Formats: sequence, structure tokens, C-alpha cells
Amino acid sequence: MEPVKALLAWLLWIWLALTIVGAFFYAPLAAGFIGQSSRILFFHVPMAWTAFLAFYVAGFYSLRYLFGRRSARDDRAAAAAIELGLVFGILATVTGAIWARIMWGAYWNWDPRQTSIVLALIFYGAYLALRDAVEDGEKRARLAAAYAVLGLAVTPFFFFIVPRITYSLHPEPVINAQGKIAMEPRMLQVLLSGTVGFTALFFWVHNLQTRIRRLREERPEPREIEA
Amino acid sequence: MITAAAVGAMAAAGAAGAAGAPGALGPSGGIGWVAVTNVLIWTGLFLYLLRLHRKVRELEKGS
Repeated sequence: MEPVKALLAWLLWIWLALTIVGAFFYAPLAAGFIGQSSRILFFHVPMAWTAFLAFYVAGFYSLRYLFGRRSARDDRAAAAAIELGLVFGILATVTGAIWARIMWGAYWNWDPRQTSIVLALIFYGAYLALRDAVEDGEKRARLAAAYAVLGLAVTPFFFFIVPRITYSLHPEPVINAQGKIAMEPRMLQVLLSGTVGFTALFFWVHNLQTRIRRLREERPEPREIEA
Repeated sequence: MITAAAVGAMAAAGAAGAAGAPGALGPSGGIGWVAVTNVLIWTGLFLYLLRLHRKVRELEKGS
């Protein structure tokens, strides 16, 4: 690894390690939460944010694919972003369920926010199924790109609109209905730090995943060589 | 990305807390262990990513 990239990687390690320490020892507990459960917020919110970002990054590369030079690199980048968005989305759902178990007494409550994120995950899970279902590479890339562009309209609906237009037990979003952030400053610092760290981590892993996809496409599986 | 194992650590701590036991994320203490587990898992994931980065680079040079 080049020295600058290695330095950036180690800075990210320090950044996220400090965020974890801050989440448990620096940020105070939120009022109205049972025990230490509010600390999950420092992981849950950045995970949900990163999932949203990943789906938008996929939409960006898909638009570039459809209206640009139809580059295979854009197609690979979109697919990699959606895979990562699903990972972060699942982690956000699981951390949310852990919090719900403590606060509401059950892991799953069909709360609008829980339900809407699961619908978003199903939507993007179908993207991967679509890719697997089409044999022809160019047709697959074109259909997948169109589907991911549709996701640009669907994602904000599931992440931001549904939870705000329905009654929900979920705590008020970080940016509340008045468009303001009502949070204790130290909690906000840790939350923003986590969001920045997770975003940087996403872009690093996304870069790796896109390159791995390229290597896989260029190097056929051993059984394909045998055939 | 705090991996599924970290989420598992939080789940165990949270479930114990919710059941009224002295769970780390529930009514009382032990939060230090959850923090240490999270840092260790992040460190493991980070080292794995560094190794993966190096391998990808080597494969790209070879192709």
C-alpha cells in the first residue's frame, strides 16, 4: 500500500477507535432511555446513513452508466455500492432491533421505521436477484442501472418520508420535524464522528469491492477454465 | 462497519439488560467490556481490510 493511503487507513482506524471509546465513555446517556441503551444510537444512525449513502452512490454510478459511455466500471461500482448498502442496512436493522428489545420489550414491533427499512432492503435485494437472472452482460448492466436509478426515488421515501408521515414509537430523527438538531453537544460530536468514520470506511471498502469485481470478471473461475 | 460479531456482543448485553439482569446496555454496568469488544472487532476488521487491499494490489499488478 502506498504511504499516503496507508497513513489515511491508519488515521481511519484511530478515528473509529476513538469514536467507539467516545460512544461508551465520553457521550452522556440520553434522557428517557433505559440503562445504557442510548449508546446504540452512535452505531445505528451512522449505519443507516451509510446504507442510504451507498444506495445513492449506486444511483449515481447507474446514471453515469446509462447516460455516459456505458462503462463496465460504472456498472461494477453500482453493484458494489448496493452490496455494501445491504450490509450496512442489515446492521442498522439489527442494532435497531436490539435497541427495540430493551426499550419496547420486543425485537420486532412492525413500527413504520422498522418496516420501511426492511422494504428498502427487499427492494435492493431484488436488484441483486435481477443481476443474477440476466445472462447477457450488457443487458444485465442496463437493466440493473435502470433499477438502481428508480431507487433514487424510492430510497428517500423509505428512509425519510414514511417514518415522518406515520405515527411511530421510534425516537425523533436526529434532524427533527422543525429541521433542527436537538441533541446534547457531546452526543452530537460522537454521532457526527461516527458518521464521518463510517462514510470513509464505506468509500474504502467500496473501492476494494469494485476492484475485486473487476478481477473476478477478468479471471474466470477454475471450473470455467476446465470446461 | 462494526461487524455482525460486534452487533452480537451488543445483542447479548442488551438482551440481558432488558431481562432485568445486570446487562451492559441495560440498567447497570459492564459497559467497558462492550467497548473493548467493539474496539477489538474493529481492529480485526481493519487488519483484514489492509491485507485485502495488499492482495488486490498484487493481483492487479499480476494481471
